[in-house]
Amino acid sequence: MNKNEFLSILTSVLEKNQISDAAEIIEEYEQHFAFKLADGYSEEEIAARLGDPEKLALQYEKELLSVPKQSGILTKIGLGFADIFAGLFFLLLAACGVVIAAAAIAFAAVGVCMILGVSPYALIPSIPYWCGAMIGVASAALGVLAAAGCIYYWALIRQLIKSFGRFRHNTIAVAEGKPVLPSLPAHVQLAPRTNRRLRSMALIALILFAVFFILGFAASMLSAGSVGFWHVWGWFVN
Amino acid sequence: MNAQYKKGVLELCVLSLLKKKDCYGYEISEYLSRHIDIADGTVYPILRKLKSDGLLTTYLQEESGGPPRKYYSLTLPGREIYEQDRADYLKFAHAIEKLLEDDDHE
Repeated sequence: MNKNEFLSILTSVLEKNQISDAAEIIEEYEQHFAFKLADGYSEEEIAARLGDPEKLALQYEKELLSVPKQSGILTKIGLGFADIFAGLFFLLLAACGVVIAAAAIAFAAVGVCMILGVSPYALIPSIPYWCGAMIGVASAALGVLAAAGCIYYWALIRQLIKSFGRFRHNTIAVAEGKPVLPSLPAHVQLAPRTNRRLRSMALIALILFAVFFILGFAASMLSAGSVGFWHVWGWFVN
Repeated sequence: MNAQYKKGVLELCVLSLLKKKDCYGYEISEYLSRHIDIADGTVYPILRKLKSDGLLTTYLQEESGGPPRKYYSLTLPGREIYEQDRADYLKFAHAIEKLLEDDDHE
């Protein structure tokens, strides 16, 4: 079979099956012949290596008559309402995130002050230095724990927003008959290494907090000679 | 090998090549037939299907001394679908490999 025979069989089957853009398809095969001929192959060899033209033509699926472009206006209005609720929801989540971040900073700051033995604006009640330092370490550890939680929490919010964005995109794409992207998972996507680090950071912080809080509490009780050491040191009284 | 099954894997191979760089049809056909035992013509229907599914786009580029070549390029959905299908396929292939190797030792 030579080039012309190959292409004419291909063309006739394509036309019989009402494949659109048959000319464009033929063009690809013509170029294939041109490249191979330039490499010194004979038309017969090339045709044989291409495969049976009838089978090839049958591989082309009739394209669905392209869906008339819809504006998907109803979908967009619906999505507009969904956006309002989702937006408020994300705002609420973000507000909680800010609170967690603030708590992390506050715990860390109190911890550092107590370890250094300083009391800016006399905010930290009087406490013997070593008792205070231990509670300070506990507080700093709590700060780290909250920071780890905060990072994880923000990663969650970010993923939720991305997932929602993809859902919006796909909903519009379906309405307009455009290709759909794979949907995104709605749980936290962290690199395994980041995940491991975050987890060990939280675990170490939790253990440090528990140990130093108990130690600090016990030391305070011993130092003050009373279970309610805060009464002895006159806390919470102006 | 089953033709239908082979076609799915070939789609993956085409996407993998196009992830590295844009190619024209003949380049893709040559690349595949160098690695896999298939008829040279098989790749063209696949390219067209991938294009109509929105995974690929085409553009024409002038070449010195010849007609302009039709280049295929991966779209954003194409890229994402490739990554997902690749992971799925590797997982599947790995499981099958393990299964068949176990069979070998019995």
